[in-house]
Amino acid sequence: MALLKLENVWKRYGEVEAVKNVNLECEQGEFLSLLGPSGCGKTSTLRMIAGLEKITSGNIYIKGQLVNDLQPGKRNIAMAFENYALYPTLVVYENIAFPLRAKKLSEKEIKKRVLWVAELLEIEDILYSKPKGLSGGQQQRISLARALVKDADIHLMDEPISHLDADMRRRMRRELKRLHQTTGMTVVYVTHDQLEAMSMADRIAVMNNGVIHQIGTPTEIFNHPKDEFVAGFIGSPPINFLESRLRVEKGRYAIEVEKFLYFIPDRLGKKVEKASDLLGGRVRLGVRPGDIALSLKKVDNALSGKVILVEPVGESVVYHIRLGEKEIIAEVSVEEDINVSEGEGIRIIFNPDRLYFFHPETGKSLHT
Amino acid sequence: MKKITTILIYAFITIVLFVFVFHYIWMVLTSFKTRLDIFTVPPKFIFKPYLQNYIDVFTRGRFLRNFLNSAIVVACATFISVAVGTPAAYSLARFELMGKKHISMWILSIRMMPPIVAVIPFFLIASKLRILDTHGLLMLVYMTFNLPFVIWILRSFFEDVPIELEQAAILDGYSRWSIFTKVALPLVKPGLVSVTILCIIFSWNEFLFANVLTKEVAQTLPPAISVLVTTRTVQWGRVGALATLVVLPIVIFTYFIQRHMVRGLTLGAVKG
Amino acid sequence: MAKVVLKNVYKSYGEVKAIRGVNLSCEEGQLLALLGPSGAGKTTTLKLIAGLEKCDGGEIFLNDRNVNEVSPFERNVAMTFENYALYPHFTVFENLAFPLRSPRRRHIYSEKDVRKKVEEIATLLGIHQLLDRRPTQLSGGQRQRVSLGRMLVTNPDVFLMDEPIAHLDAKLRYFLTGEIKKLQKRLGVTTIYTTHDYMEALAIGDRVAVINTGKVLQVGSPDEIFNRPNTEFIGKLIGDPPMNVLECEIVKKEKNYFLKIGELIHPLSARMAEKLLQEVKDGKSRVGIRPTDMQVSREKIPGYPEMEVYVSEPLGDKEILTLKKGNVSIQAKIKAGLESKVGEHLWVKFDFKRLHFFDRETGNRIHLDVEYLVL
Repeated sequence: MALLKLENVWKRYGEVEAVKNVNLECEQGEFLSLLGPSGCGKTSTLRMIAGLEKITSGNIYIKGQLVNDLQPGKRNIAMAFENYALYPTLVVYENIAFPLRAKKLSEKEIKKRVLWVAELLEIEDILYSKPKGLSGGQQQRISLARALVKDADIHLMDEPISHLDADMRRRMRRELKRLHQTTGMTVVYVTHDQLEAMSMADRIAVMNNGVIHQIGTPTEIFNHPKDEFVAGFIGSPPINFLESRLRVEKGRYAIEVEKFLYFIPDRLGKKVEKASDLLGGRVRLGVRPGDIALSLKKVDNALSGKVILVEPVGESVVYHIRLGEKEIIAEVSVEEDINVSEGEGIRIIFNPDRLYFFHPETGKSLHT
Repeated sequence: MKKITTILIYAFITIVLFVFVFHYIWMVLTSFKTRLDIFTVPPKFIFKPYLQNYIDVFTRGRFLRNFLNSAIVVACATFISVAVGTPAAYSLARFELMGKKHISMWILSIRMMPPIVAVIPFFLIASKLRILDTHGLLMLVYMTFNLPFVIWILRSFFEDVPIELEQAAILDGYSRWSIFTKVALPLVKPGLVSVTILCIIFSWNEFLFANVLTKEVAQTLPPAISVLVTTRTVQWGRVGALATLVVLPIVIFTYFIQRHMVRGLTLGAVKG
Repeated sequence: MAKVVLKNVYKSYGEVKAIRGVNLSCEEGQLLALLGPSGAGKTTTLKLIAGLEKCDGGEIFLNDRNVNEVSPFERNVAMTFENYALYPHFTVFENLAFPLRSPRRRHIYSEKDVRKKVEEIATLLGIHQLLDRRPTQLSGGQRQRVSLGRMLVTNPDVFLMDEPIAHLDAKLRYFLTGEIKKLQKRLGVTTIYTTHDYMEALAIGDRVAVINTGKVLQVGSPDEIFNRPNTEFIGKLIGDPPMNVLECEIVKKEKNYFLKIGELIHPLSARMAEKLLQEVKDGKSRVGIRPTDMQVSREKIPGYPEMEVYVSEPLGDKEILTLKKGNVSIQAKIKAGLESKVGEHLWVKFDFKRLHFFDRETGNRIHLDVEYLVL
């Protein structure tokens, strides 16, 4: 049995359905991330696990025990809050030590653990300041420290590094992941930042409008998105969507995109054909910017477009390309760059193994 | 179990609420009682209402005169305080002034002074100037206490208006004054409403100065109540009736204007 | 259209020296991106150009005319602010009309002209259907457009944009940088654009000026800034993850040169080592290696160092590895697919041609012209 289990969990605030029938399991030692845009219900879900919000219906189990009516203090969990929730009258050291004092640990043990976590999160030098004068980033690290210092069954984190500057966020991402992998603690981590979820989590649950769209490893989520929302939410620059039509031309499968014909692998074509039968061949094509190659020479099976904007972003170059009525984004690494300038015509080649097809109305993937 | 807790909580809230509003209830009840009922022990809560107290208030004594005095003094004092205090607050919030800190501190310190300290000097000055028992004197006194309050509160409201809003207007060629009236002022409206209400309440209820500095011509309502308390008798019924009439306008006024007191008009205007 | 030139400009706020001798120029029709961390002096620079702040020293020229004493309005520049600075009590229409209805312009534009002009701009930016709404009813992206619209509506000579897209979510930013750049190209208006995000600066700027603690550190094309950072600071400011910058020493064993970074010993070409030794006599400097400029492999690369995986972060099509050896920690960004485990040992080979060297004390780039060396 999983360490944490959510079974048909609902949360309503009056008329608003914040969480709709969520089913989720988290194994011992797993790093599970709830990922979604703001207002998608991820924080409500986390707060229900913590017991800070009542669930409207459904069941939550921790270690096989039904905890629906168990007080937060008795669930043996630790939580880091996005808005810090520090005790303003206590110095940082005491803030971090607070959950340990509740457990009546010896002063020596407390000191050892506080110093350990302070070093990990780089806050040793502010241990004896009051939270009030500290920056948002520092306060957030204290809040995180207070959650990490406690020996809990589950560590819940609500956007714990969102207020740090980019560099510190990167460092904390690394340290948190390392900490999780070396201690084997169980983490449920809420974030709206796909980078954080991708880089740290063992599994990701992508949420929107209170519903879980997909649960899977970062690689699964990235390579096999189950629907358009997941495909659009993950990846930067974002995926391109193109309305298209599946056809069979000269015995080969092809898609018609913006009046161009583009042949696709048979295996993929067959799968999509089956699913798109009822749609008269109408499908929505998704291509990630990194899966587009550009060429100045004439190539077989390519679309033609016009470069409207070139954005060199260091290690790669981002092209905005006009394709028929649409505009798409392609990202080419510097080594593979072909130095096209704005206004030039260009051939566009999609990586045939990494094309995604979605139902034009429901947005569901047609081949996973 | 849960139900009992809920009931207990509500019972507690009721008790607390009762303690807070009891004297108002007592006041209103008293105003409708006969002299006999007022002194009955245990007190009666259900009785036949008696309207003579109110009739007395309107017929014997100078209720209308006092009411008019209160209205004139409060309206003028509040209007002038807000009209003068708002630009003052704006300049303290926005301009680099010489000794800005000292000016602010000095303004605040006036408000911190206990009113009783000022009563004697005011009385002496006024009597020398022969302006005792005039509306102007009372207005002046109320402004002394309202102005620092208006300036202090509105200053922080103005400081909350993002400076970029005004800088954008500067680039567009607007003058300081039109920026103040067109950009800043509309955005501190909730603050303006709040300080106006609080000024009115303060001036309306003020007793100490009104009692010492006015007698007949400019006497306002609060001291008029005290007149009914004499060394020989206290006309409790009339005290209750008059007090109820003093409180009533403020209650009605506050009820209708409270929705304007919401803060946060600027929220959401800035950033994503 | 105008050329913007700043000559040795200074500005202090009380004790704080915000701008310390800034020299900048932006050619007519060009887009100059000012890149720097928060507090670097970017916004102050814009406000000085706009005339919202007065400079303590130095000169500012617009179109070869010294504007130090010219009022903000007469400079004919328009500015967008980081927080958009929309008037919450006005509708979108009134916000856009506000600059045209100012006392200084009222006589030029009749109400009919105002309506026409506002509608034209709204159509251009695709916010036509929002004209009756108030800013609070708009999304972040829509507010940003309104703020752009208010800048465009008066036909200014210079656009000043202060972190225009810093508060939008990442997805929108990709489209909006593109949109702003296209718009600027089409109108051909001289533009100065501030940002703290290196990607944005490189993507949008014809030229990029890196600024920190009130000083301009480097001005150049996006390519120059990325490939030839003048100082260690710029190297670390650019890139995600940023450049690894480490203490290093050139050592010679028998006839071969090595780069010694703590316990990490990496071969170095003789020509490069000799060139470096000419510049730094004791051979000690700081080396900068971009996470993308190295090869990481599970198979042994003979002669190259071995490092331990501290942590590995998958990012879809890429993977970021943090590698350690003793006290040395470096980050590598590689194509996804290695799927390394914590504690695993991997071999690392730096791309010689793309190493950067910085002076240990000043942090300035040591120019080796390695691009021209045949290795």
